[in-house]
Amino acid sequence: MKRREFLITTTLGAGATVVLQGCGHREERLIPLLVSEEQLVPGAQYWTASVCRQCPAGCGIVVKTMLGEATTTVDGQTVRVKRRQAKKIEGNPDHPLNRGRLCARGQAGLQVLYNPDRLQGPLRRTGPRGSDQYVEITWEEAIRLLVERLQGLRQRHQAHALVFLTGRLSKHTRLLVERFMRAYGSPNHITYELFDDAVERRANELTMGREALATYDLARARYVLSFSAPFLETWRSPVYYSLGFGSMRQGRPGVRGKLVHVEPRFSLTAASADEWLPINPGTEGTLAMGLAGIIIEENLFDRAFIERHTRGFQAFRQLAREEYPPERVSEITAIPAETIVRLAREFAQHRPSLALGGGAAAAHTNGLFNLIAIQALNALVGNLGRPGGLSFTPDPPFQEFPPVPETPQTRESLRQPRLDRVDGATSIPALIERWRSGQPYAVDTLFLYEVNPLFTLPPALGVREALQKIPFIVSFSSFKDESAAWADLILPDHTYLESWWDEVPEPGAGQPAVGLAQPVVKPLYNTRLTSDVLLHVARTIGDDMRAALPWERFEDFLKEAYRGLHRAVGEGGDFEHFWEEVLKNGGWWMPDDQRSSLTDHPEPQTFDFSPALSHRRQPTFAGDERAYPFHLHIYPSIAFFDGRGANQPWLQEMPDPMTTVAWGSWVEIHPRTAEQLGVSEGDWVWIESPHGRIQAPVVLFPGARPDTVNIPVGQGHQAYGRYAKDRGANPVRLLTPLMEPVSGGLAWAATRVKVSKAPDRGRLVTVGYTRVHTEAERR
Amino acid sequence: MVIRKRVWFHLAVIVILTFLGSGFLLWSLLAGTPEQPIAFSHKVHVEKQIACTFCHQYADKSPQAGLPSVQLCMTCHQVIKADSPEIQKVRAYLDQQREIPWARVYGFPAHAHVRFHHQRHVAAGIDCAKCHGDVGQMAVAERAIRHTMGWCVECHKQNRSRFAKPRLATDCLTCHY
Amino acid sequence: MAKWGMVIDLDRCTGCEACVIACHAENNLPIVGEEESAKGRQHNWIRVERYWEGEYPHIRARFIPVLCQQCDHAPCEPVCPVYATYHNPEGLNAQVYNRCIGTRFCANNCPYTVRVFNWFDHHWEKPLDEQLNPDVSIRTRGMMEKCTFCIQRIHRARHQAEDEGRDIRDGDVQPACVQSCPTEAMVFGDLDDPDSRVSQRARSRRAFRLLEELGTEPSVIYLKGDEWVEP
Repeated sequence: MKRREFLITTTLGAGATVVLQGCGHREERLIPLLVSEEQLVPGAQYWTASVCRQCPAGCGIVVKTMLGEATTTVDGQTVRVKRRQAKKIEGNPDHPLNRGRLCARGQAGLQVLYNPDRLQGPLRRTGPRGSDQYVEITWEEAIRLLVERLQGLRQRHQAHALVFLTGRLSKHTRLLVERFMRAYGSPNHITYELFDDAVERRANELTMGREALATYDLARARYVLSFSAPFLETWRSPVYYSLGFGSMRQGRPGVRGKLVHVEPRFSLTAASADEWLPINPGTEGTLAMGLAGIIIEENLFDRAFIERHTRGFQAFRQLAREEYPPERVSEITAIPAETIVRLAREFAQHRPSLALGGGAAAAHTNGLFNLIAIQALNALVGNLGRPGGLSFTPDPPFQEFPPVPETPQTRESLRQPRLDRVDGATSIPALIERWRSGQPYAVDTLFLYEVNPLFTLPPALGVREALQKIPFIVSFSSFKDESAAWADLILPDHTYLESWWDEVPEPGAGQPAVGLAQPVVKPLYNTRLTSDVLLHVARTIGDDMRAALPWERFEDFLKEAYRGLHRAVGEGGDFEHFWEEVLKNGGWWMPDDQRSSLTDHPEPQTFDFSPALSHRRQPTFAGDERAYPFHLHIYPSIAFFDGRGANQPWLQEMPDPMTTVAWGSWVEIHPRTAEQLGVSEGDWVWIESPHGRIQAPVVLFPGARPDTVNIPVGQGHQAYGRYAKDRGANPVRLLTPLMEPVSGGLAWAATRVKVSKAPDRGRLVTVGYTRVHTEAERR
Repeated sequence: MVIRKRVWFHLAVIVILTFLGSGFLLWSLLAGTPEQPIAFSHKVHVEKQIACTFCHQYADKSPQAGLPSVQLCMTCHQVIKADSPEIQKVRAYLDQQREIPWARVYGFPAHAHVRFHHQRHVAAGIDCAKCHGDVGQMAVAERAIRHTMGWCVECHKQNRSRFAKPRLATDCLTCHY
Repeated sequence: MAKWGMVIDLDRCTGCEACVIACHAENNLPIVGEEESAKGRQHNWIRVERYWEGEYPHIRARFIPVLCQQCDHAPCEPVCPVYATYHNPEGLNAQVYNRCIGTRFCANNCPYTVRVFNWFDHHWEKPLDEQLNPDVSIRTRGMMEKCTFCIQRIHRARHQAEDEGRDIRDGDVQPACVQSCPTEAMVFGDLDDPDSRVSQRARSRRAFRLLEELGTEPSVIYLKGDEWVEP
């Protein structure tokens, strides 16, 4: 850190902590980080555009920064400094995905940056694994350790024994990691997310030839039938879909759309629906087939579209008619037959009507079938590529980087089998098993980036034992999460507000768009952007890697990518000017006037009905029905998503909208079921599956199915800082690792559990508001 | 009876002490001549026709007037009176990359909950001296004017018609929030 | 003179709590922790209430964001012995922190229970304090506080308008909650301007005010949840 970066001030005198901090002046929106800190006017607001990283959606944000005072340590001395501070995050009004709006998690991003439990520099493990004994090291030493390790592996012709496990990375960060692995010579860049999208991608590929996530145009739909996708809280792009939902409801004079939500749990999305149908878990596809049968039987489908744009309709029609009569569907799904008939008619007659499925519908062993059947409903009403329908957002026209060639050093190791593949499909259980068995080859070094397998993978897979078999684990986490606490080397990344990165939102908002994140404030600590570390390591390892990754910094790599974009969008002019605009706007997106021509009349897609036949299957559940009488329905918490938000005190204190619980976990049980179990609100229970048990206090939840218990994911951390650690329970620990076999998605909704009374372990914190307005509300 | 008298006496002492104490606190906040690390004279600088905003450079653009950085001081004093012992002190701060720890002369304490805005006052054409006294005549900056609420409100009342929304001239929320 | 008001469309509101966190970030609301939360001492200037209706499986839930209703006949105002809470010329129910002596009469008299008392001084673990908004006071122990309709944002918009020699335009002022709302359920503006978005929405047949029968004349207008009617 350069000394001049700290303008050391004690000018304000001791004790004068609040100093004429009047309200600042002049909206200075969207200023890229070109104004140096010395030039900032105190009290003025500077807005810098960036991208949200609290979930994979990729909303555009603008961050208010101001010159502020802080204490910091310079050369061992505590001094007061003036520095640019991030004060508030708002949605970027120009970003096509969220148009200025932002969810609670997005707002809380400042508490990632200013989290008191951030790692402040590289650490090397000194005690046994998990003992939490680390020593601070310099970045030079950290990089030397990495390089030595990787060079040694290569010399032993074991480059493939490096595994890079990541979450769903952002656009060019992912490209860089892929390039790095290919140039190094390992086929093992593996992605894992608990709430992933593999099943949906596969369903869309099979039916529409697009291995991508679909964009649903809720705003212009008149009727929306959603199957277990909590799109107003955590699913895909909640802010984009909330905007769409608001418009669908009240954005068009004289038209109010209807939302029917099918889900085993009464979620926040269900609460916003006009009608909720508590379906039997895993039978969403059956319901969709039943609806399809009626739509076909009553000739309510879009015949012209079916004839022109679909394949396999005749066989599908026969299947739906013969196998899915309403009575039978009713028996399987627990939805009354007359409701099924009514829904089918409503859906077909109030076009544009949309069906969308995901969440728990995809998280079953038959998740692929469920989604295929749901997409078939969209095809039946011809709602592909139309306003108010389903479409695929085109990517921005980035130009490909020249591929990384195989070299004599990498040829052999790149041809080794990927450790997560079974018959061409991804299988995380197979991956963990191979780590444990060392077959077909042992893993030597594991990189963990934006992923926390010790929290988000079911322990039944034997994750800890598998990690114990790996000699060298490197974590790039900004926080000491469960997996970082197990690592041999922790090389903390900047937080997203201090970093260069970019994201093409998927699903997007219909128009090609990319959001670019730039450092909003200078890094607070001695952390490094992981992408920069990889570039540094690459050029140190050898000339061949330097040739594939010639960039000094990730910023240069990004800039080169945007040079390609600049050429492709043909806006002419000077690139530096284009780049400045991109920085100022927070990305690039197709202008609105061009957008309408693109999304309102896109090429109709072709839909293939036949996968509904070939992938038809019934859901299977882990756990004997008599021993484990309840379905376990876990769901991403609106506050913490998959657990990554649990270290932010704003989110901990935020009452859960459905239960008003704060600062803890809970299990939702139907009041009648609770009575049978002899438990009441706030009592503690054991929830036990064939693979483990956790305890949590009971919330009597009138929106729980009597045969299902619901538990949010997010709490139950054993590490991850003062606000998250030792708080609540992690239901992922209960999961039996069943998979959807074709896509490799984890069937996290397919475990059965039993519930029994447990000793009291403290209180359930609910924020019970005085119910004073019921009368007025009902009017 | 005696006991009661004693209680009253103690109470009275406490009340008087509290009163004196808070009065002293208030006084010390509102008026005084704080000791400064450098014998800086506003008078000398103002006589050289240097505008207030040359050093307090944010007064016309920000809520805070701002104090000059040590670099700004040395821009002139690189040459002017470079050998004076006081300037040598300033140079020492620059060499150490430290700012001069000036003592605050004006300002509102946190518990006043005042959001004062310099730029609004400068933009309204209020002369600096109106609130800060004739600083140009001061060898050592002193609190010449006590910024009590009554003093602020009096001026706001007199200038009511110059407010865009005259009724807000003396609204509490104009300053306290 | 503007008359600030807000319309909240409950047919759009999903109860997502974005407004709650936006308000925390904007207004320096403290985190009180688990213990104090359990005692009902959370600091929220806006909260989302949830009501159950019906029985499983025909269960419904309704959400209603509740903030200070900025009443024209505010029950909190006449009971303050030190005039710390009063009505300002733009229709804001103001809380003057430095006048407040903490009797809590106002909170007791508020039918909407939107006033929050500071039982303690608050502490932000470093460096969380770097996020604090310098445009808003840090309230201290013994002080009542409540929603201000983001008065600092109103001031900022007014200053800008004044400097540009014009009046505040509709949409210039957006309190933090309104700004963040993902479904655009909330609209803020001048109720005296018949063309403002807030006035337009307030004319809806679905409009109602909370506890209207008390005669508090709130400046927050709700639009009740709509029903789908088969066209």
